[in-house]
Formats: sequence, structure tokens, C-alpha cells
Amino acid sequence: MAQKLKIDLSSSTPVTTQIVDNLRVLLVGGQLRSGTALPSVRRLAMELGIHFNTVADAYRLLASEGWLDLKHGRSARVIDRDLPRPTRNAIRSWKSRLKQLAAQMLAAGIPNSEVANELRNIAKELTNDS
Amino acid sequence: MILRVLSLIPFLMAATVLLFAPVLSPRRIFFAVRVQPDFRSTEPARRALRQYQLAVAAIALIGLLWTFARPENPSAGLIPQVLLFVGAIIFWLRNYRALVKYQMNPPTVAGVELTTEPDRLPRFFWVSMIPPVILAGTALYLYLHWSSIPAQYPIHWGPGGQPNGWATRSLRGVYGPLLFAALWMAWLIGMAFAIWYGARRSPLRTAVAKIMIAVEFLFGIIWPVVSLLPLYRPNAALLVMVILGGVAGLIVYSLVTFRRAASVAGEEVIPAASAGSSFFDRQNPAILLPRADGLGYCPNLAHPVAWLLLLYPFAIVIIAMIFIF
Repeated sequence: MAQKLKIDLSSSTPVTTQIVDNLRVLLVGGQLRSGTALPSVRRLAMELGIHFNTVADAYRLLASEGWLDLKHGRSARVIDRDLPRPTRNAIRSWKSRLKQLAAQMLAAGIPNSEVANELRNIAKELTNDS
Repeated sequence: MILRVLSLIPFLMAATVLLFAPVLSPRRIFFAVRVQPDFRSTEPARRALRQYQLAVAAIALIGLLWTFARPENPSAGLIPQVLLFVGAIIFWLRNYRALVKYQMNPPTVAGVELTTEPDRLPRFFWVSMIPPVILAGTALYLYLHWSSIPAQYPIHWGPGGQPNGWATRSLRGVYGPLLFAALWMAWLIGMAFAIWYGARRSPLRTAVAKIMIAVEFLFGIIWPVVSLLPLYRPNAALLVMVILGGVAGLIVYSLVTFRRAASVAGEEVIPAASAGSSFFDRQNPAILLPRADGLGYCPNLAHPVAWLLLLYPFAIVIIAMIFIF
């Protein structure tokens, strides 16, 4: 069954970021495997009711991360991607972002144990499927 | 007298459609206002419907009385129709203004399946080729029976049944109606294709394309019959009944198809970038966008095909006035 992509136009997160984030979850989780073709920029823009440049930007961003192959005249295709070796700075930056997110969850009243569980489950979910 | 009674049928059909129009729309749309699906059972909704239907019924009754009491002036016969439509629009707008405070915000979440499945034309699109074939067949029949066509024949009749418009046996007179129908058919098929390839995938898209092709079929029945009138003079009452029956059938089919599609479409996510009555966005690839109130489509005026579809009917009217009729 085809995967579903959802965006919220009332969200403060830019639509391009939402598309990239949603697709990345599907790519990391293995729901979109190597060789899978994605809908054309025109089709996706029409279905979502958004600008085609927004979709094109999202595809370009994912291509720059090494997830997609964009060749002129054919649809975007998922490709095999070698995992980059994370630098110490990158790890520090991600930790900081994760910390901020966890702090937001705790501030929203979510118990410590549940935050830890959620993070563990998400990591397991993403790595098990791939 | 029979013709006068027959002339009442379109009026009664229009009155019936207008009377029930508010309840024929999808449940989430009421007087063109996007509401909660159970809004119709609330007191403000019931009051609005009652007032509207009473007003339309009263205007229709006045129109009926006028039809039987009017003087023998053909243009006077149009007064009830005009009165009915103007009255219905006024009361509709009045209710729209009263109910707009209950309007819900359109959904802002849009969803799409990540499929590369191409847009294959459904089978009903191939059926759209039948009406042009009927036209071509009629043209061939007229060509083969050319000598049987009278040199001059009536093409229009007054309310008393007396002919008041004539045509001659010429290319323009004989094939003109068929050409007129062919031009409209091209537009209807073009609209169906534009909806299919230029709008988002949804049950509404299928329904509207089907309705376009149904209208094309009606043209494919009415205009060949009109074109064959010089050869055959069927009973006028029967002819009017067939035409009105076709129109009534089309109205019922359109309402049922649209309502069924709209009720399905209501459950799925609607793109937030849906439009009002006009829309202009160069970066949006859609030719037609679903209207925010759920009542069909509106053109994206930044798309040249949308302009073509909008201007083409005017071109048909001009061509018909200069070259055909």
C-alpha cells in the first residue's frame, strides 16, 4: 500500500520542512526503500494544493542529503545511501536539539519515564523497519 | 392550452430544484456555508430552511397563477421564471448572511498518497465518444436525404404553436445545429479532461467529469432530433416531453452523482489551498481547484487552459450568432 504524506498548512513549520521531515521519517524507517519512485513535483503539488517550487525544494533538499536521485525527465527515485560518519560537533548539536525537545515534553507535563520510553520506542521503530 | 401546460413543466422543474436545493447539498454545506454535519437539525438551520422554502413556494404559486392569467404576449411568459430565480437568489443570500456566523474553518491538513500510479482515463471517458458519432451519423443521414428536405422549413414556434422562425435548405441551415452541438461537445469533453488531469484526485473529480459527459449525451440526443425536424415532423407535445424528460433525467443524475461524491469527499482531507469563486496562482499547477465550500471547482486563472475553457463558450455564442443561426 502506498505511504501517505500529510502536511498542515496552518502550522508554523514551513511546508517544505514538513515534507522533508515526513519523507525522511519514511526513508529512515524503511517504508520508502531504494528504487521507489516518488510522485512527480507537479502531481504532489496539485494533490496538496501547494506551489510546485515548494515540492521541488523539498526534493532537492532530500537529494542533497543523499536520499533521492533527481534526474531530469523522470520521477524522483529513492537511492541507497551510505550513512555519513557524524562529527563530534554534529553529535553535540543533535544532543542539544534532543535535550531541548525533551525539556519541552517535560515542561508540558509528560513524565520523565514516558519521555525516555518514547525516545527509546521511536529509535527502535525507525531502526527495526530499515 | 396543451402548449401552455407544457410550458409550465420547465417552470415546475426549476421550482422543485430550487425548493429542495438547500437539502440536496452535502450535509457539511448548508446555503453554501461550511457547517457541522449535524447542523441541519438545529433550530437556526430549520428556521432558515422553512423561510426559504415558504418564499420559493409562494413565488412559484404566483408564477403558476400568472401563467394561466397572463395576456397572449410571449415575453410575458418569462416573468414567472425570472421572478422565481431572482426571488430564490435573494432568499438564498439572506440565509447565507444569517448562517455565515456558524461557518467552520476549512481543514488545513492536506494528505496525499505517495504513489506514482499514472492517471488512467476511466472507462466512462470512452463513452464520451458516442455523442459525436451520433452527430456524424445524423449529418450523414441528412446528406443522403438532402433532396427530401423542404426548401424552407420552420425552426422556431411561438407559444401558440405557430412557426415564427424559418430556415432554408442550405449547408448553414441544415448542418448549423449539428455544428453548434459539436462545438459544445468539444467544450464539455475538454472540461472533463481538464478536471481529470488538472485537478486533484478525489471522488468529486470523477463525479464532475461524469456530469460533463452526461450533459454531452443530452446534447447528443437533443440536437440530432432538432436537425432531423425538416425531414420528420413528430408530435410537438411528444417532442417537448422527450426533451424535458432528458433535462429532468440529467438534473436528477447530476444531483445524485454529486451528492454521493461530496459525501465521500467530506470524509477525506481537503487541501487547504482550495479556492473561492476565482483563484490566481502561477506556481500552482492545477487548472481547476476544489471550491472551499465544496460546491464543485473554480478555475486557476494563472493557467492558460483555464482561460481557454472560460472563453470558449463565448466564442461558441459569437460563432453561432455570425455563422450558424
